[in-house]
Amino acid sequence: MEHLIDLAKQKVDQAEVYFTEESSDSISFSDGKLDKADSSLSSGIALRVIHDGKIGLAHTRNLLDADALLRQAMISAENGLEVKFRFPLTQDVTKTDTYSVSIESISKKDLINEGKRVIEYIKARSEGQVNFSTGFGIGTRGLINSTGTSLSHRTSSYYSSVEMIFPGTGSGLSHFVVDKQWKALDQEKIDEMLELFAISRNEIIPPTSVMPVIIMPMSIYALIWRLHSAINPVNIHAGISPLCNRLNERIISDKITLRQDPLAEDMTSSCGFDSEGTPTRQYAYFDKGVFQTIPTDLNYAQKLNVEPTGNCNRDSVESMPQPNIINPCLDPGVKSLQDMIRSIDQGIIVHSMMGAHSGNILNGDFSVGVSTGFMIQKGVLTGRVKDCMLSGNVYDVLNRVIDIEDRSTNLGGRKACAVMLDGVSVAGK
Amino acid sequence: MIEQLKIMTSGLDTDYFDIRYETKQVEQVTMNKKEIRNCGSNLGDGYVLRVMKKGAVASVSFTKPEQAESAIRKALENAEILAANGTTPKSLVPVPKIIDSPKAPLIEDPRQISLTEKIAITKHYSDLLFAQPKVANVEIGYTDFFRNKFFYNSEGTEINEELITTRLSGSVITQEGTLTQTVRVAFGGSDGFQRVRDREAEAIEKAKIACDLLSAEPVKAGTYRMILNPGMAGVFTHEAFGHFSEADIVRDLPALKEKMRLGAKLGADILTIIDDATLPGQLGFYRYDDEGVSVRRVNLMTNGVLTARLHDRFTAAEMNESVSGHAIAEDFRFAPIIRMGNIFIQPDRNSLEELLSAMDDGLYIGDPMGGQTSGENFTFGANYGYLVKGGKITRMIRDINIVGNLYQTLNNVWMIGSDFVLKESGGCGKGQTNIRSCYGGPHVLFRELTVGGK
Repeated sequence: MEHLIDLAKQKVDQAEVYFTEESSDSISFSDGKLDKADSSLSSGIALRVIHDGKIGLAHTRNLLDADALLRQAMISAENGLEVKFRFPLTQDVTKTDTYSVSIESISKKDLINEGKRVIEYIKARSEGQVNFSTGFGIGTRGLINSTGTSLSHRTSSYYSSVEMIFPGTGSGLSHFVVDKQWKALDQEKIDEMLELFAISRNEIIPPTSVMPVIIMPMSIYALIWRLHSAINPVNIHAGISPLCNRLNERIISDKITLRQDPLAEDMTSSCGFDSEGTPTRQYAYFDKGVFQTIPTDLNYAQKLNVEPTGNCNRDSVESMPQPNIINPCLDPGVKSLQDMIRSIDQGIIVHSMMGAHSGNILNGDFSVGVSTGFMIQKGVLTGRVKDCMLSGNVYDVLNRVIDIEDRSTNLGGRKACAVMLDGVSVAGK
Repeated sequence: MIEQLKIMTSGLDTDYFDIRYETKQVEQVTMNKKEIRNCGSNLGDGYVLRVMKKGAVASVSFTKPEQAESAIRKALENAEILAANGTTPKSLVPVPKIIDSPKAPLIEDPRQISLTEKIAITKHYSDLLFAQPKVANVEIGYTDFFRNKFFYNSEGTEINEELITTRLSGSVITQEGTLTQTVRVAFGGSDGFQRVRDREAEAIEKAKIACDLLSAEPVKAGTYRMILNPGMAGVFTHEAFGHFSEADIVRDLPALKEKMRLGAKLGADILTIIDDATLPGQLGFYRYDDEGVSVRRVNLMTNGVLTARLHDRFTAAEMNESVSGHAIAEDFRFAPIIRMGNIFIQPDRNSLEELLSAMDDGLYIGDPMGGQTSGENFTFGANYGYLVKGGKITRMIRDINIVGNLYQTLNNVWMIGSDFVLKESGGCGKGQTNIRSCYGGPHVLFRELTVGGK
């Protein structure tokens, strides 16, 4: 890696090497039966250069020829984006303890036993199809640049997920855990799944009307996604975001605080620096409904004339570095989910949606099918909703938040709570 | 390269193995707001090994040749542990041994076009779209992908197939006040660079739709007679029906297995659905899948009756059906899974005018914008559409989201057009991305479809 930087320094004004090294193992059970065991070993290198004020990018999986990689990066820079930033000198970053040595001693036998245990537990109490998948991995990513930055970060990860499918359909209920080390599925959550599964036998087509809706943590992202698209600096710089020139304005309900926590040790994307070496930090995108911060990388910080927030992301070495949110977290409210349900005379609770990626996202519009949801009547769940859609606009419905659940669910790359909204358009019969 | 794969796997003690080494060269130009965000050419490579032992199948992907030994160890260990813990034993449908090296059938080879020309053509379309009324932003990119695949298996099959995909795609965004509208533009295919040349008129047409959408009225929720254009009919065929023709999905959802029984009458008499990756010139063209099986045309539904499905060698053996050559991997990072190649409804004899006139009052729905299925229920967004009154196309409508149930919808097909248009840019995301997933068809009239919303 140092060799590549040294080589590049002789030919270009600035250079940066980003590298990853990963291994992972996974196992899955389909319909209660052990079905798959797969592994992956991968690595990669991306080189960015800035020369004569223009930036270029090249990458490879297998560095066989450093000169050729540098040549590709220089050709890319000849025609590349004009940039005015410098690769940063970052020496001190907050250490995040995201590696657990215990990951090294997980055996596949342990994973299979966990699967068998969970499946047997559910099968003894319910009919229906049960799927289970689990896996673990180790990853290192790091960055060296010609300014003198040299950073690397190691993570371990573990996940396990169980799913029950409603008879005759492809939708169902699921529960999963993510951690840096082995973690059992939450027994209480599995029991809740079993209870809901029993209720799901009663199918209800809700009336077409306007009613309160509780959106569970797994699904609330469908709405928050619209906000992310609006605070994305690419859309703000292009002048097409509805939040252009609206910093420090209250946009959504003051019950909503949406922040990022890139230093949380129990989340999957945590790291003290972003993928171009800027230190990451905790801050709010929306604080009590007020639009506070645009998440930027070096390029868009410079274009928008703000400080970079350390939000540069690369999904893989092949991806172009892009500004993105890291570990978004919705702050919990004050009411329990049970109390929220009890307060509803007629409404719906939504566990999973389909079609969240269609519609005019930038405008905040949504029109989604409820794939798993339950009817609430007089404070009690009475059955599974069928053939039902929700629609609206986030700038409208997120201004009609009644309550936010008092506990947050860690979904790995984000933390969320159930949110109760008033007056959502529901289309049924 | 095949020789190296043979050396790497020599002495491997398995019932079956296959190994694939691939290089993927990607050249691209990405523009946003008239600026080049990124451009250049890059090469990636890697290996995928699959082994079968005692009826258990396991796969390992790896990057470097020096990792081969530990990859082989992991694959064997994975297979052993599956076999020891009660996995249902798998077997392979026999297929002919193949030794072949097909080249990509190209009219104009994108590898022979300079990066400078690719930049120029991307800028050209960007400038052209920006010059149209109310356009606030254009995000557009040119990419060509050159996959060079080397496949070798323990039965002696040796294949080196080239796949080259060319694509120019992006979004044109119009704005009025705070309202924005986005329309997608995509040209490309599997047969060369000429696909992205001389498409100005179509690009301008898309910008006009994006402009008109600013003053279109949101559609009123309800149930309508509906004509889907070929793009939208293709999305329906792919998303709502096609995925349930993939044997791995059916196999993993026993609840659907009974409904999707071969011989079951599931659709209207006039409905025939085909997957044909062998059709020359279309985006999804290939000769061999990533299990070394020659792909063939499959009649999935014939006159409303389910007649076949898409398989890999393992699912074909398990369900005792014919192998079809549909085990496809995204690239060198992945083991293959079952994918559609090129799916469409077979055209019938009616013109669009005849469809409109038969419909009388209803909706004429334009290009797709995202779709999702959950079991037999689906939802698809459409970019734009028109109200039809007395067989005549009238006002433009927007914010269209169609919802429905697969089986009801298959029976609601009323008339099928004689035209035939296939999509030029794919992107099916079933676990892995398949950029060559092709679909389309004729215009199709449905007796009843539901638009969700306000």
